[in-house]
Amino acid sequence: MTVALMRVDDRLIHGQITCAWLSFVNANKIYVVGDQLANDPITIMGIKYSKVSGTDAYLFTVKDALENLKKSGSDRTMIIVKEPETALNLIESGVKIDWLDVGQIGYKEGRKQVAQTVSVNEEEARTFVKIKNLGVTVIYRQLPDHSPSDFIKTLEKHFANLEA
Amino acid sequence: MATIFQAFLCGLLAYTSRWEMENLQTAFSSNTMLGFLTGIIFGNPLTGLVVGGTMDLLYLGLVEIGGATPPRPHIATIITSAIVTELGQPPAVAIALSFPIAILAAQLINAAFILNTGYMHYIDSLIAKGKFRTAEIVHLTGGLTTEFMFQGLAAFLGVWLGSGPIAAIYNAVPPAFWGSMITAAQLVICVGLAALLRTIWKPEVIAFYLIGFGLAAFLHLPMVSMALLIGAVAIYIFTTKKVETTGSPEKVEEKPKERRLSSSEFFKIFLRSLFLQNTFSSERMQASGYWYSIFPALKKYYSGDELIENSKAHLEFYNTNPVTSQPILGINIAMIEEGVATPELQKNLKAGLMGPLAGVGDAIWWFSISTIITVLGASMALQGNYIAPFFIWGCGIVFILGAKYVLLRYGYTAGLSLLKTAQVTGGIERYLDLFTIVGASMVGAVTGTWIGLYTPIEFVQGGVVIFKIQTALDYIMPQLLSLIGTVSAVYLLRRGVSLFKLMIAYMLGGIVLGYLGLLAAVPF
Repeated sequence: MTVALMRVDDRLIHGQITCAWLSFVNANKIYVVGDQLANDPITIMGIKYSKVSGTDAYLFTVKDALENLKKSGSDRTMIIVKEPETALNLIESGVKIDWLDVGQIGYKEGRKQVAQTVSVNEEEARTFVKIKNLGVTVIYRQLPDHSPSDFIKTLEKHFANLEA
Repeated sequence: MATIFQAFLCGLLAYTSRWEMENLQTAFSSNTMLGFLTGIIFGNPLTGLVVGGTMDLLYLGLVEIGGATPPRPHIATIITSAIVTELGQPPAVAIALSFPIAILAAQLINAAFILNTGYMHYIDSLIAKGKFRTAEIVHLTGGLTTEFMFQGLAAFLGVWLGSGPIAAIYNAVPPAFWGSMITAAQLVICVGLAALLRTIWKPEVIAFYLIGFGLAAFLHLPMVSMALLIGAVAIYIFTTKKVETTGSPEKVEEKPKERRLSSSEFFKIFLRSLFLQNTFSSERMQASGYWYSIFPALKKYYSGDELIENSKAHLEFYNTNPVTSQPILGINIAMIEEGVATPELQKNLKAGLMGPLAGVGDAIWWFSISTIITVLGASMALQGNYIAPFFIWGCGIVFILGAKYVLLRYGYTAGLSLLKTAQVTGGIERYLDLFTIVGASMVGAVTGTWIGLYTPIEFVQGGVVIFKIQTALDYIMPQLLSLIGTVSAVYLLRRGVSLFKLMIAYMLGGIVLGYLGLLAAVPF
């Protein structure tokens, strides 16, 4: 199993993924992972539409994703999760990545905008720090053409005592 | 020197065209059109047209996807068209000038999006108090005071103050440098074309890219006839290919009349949906525009606190391709009509569909239809054909406005039945492939037609030229260097070199090689 890229993006599969990231990381499959997502009829429909543009996309719960990754052979898989919690689950369950890409988390009540396209609340910020502490570099990078920036440093500017 | 009146007109053009670009999106604001109109302001529409066409080719691959703002050429087109027509310099000079301006324009747009967040918060508080009318006005005027204003001011100042200093620089730099700028410009166009090709670079696409290149380079076929020819071949291939259909297309039942919006109410929502991005904020992007679009439907079925709660549901982050936003809006209206719309369900609908539909929309639009239209239009412009800007505009009206209406209607009529039976046929996928290969062949044709890289190296003995390297290259393949320029850029981009760095590198490389007399280019 090869994870070509793991990305936190609450718009799931969209233009930045299909038009830029897939070819950049040379991935041939996309797993959208999330326990709630996998049972949400609207998301199921959305992923079906994604297939229209010729993308080989799947929607899995964390458990199913892990099983399918084991069987995935020579595939290069791109994993998209909606929130950091799922990324942490996957990494703790043995999915190996060197870096985690934070692309897009939309604003809603309780969240604070920390980067151009990312808003998080304190709990989510702490989850990102936990991911970093597992040896994964967390970076903010919308598109391959953008230069990556250290996302944990960005979070530290907006939240105090994240390590605690 | 440009008069203040001319500069004012240029500013006004930048202001209204950026507004049009974010809102109506009829492709009126192509660079070809902007160059043409600026040319008219300065009494030389032909030069403006050529500068505009060049810019459309140059920035072809730098597309706006998913809220990321790449360098934006529009005010650069206006400023450089003004300076080039006024000072009588070759259009290639425009290319060198356009980069810093395009980067500045993108920064100004981002700054405006941050300011618009303030408007967004204001709209929040107005809606919480039930002051809907004021919230609508804020949405419709917000962008007028930020994004479009900045672009207008930048173009005004650039044209008014820019031409003097630029003329001074122009006269101070040796003419050989500007000659090498033409080479640099064409190398940069290679990178722009490569930026489009890199994402669709797979065997069948490469084949059609090479066919387009060959027809242009060997047979000198004009673009429009080539588009027809390749289109016909593509249609043949795709209609004879066996299609796998996943499920049957859903049957749509008409709703009983009394529960429906009147057609004038529906049309009102359609018109409002054309102002989706008027006050685009970095925090929540199209949120206020979506609320503004759907408000007539909300108002018809809810009142009092319920209206406020349902309005608030639409103030969360929302961003998708403006064309594929339409079916979401349509489904959402149908949901409200059928009385099943809770704030939570509406939020889920938008959050679940905005990404995937944007992915489909961006792929269809940027990498196929827009490419084909822009390449055809820009090619006409470079030949000095005044129909060019109107051709692009007309196609935009048909394809964008048409699609926006049809898709809104589709989502509205199908409504929630789309969720129950969400089966997608293989049909759409075929058309996407079809457009992609026609697009790729057009890019190939641009490589073979408009890029004219050659090497002027020759060996002279006793005053007689005994050997020209280009002659030898032409025996292998005409336009070989143009092909190498583009394909090498695709290779480098796919290896992970950033687009922006590659453009700068190719430009500098072109200037140096051109100045040394190793590489040259046929001017447009």
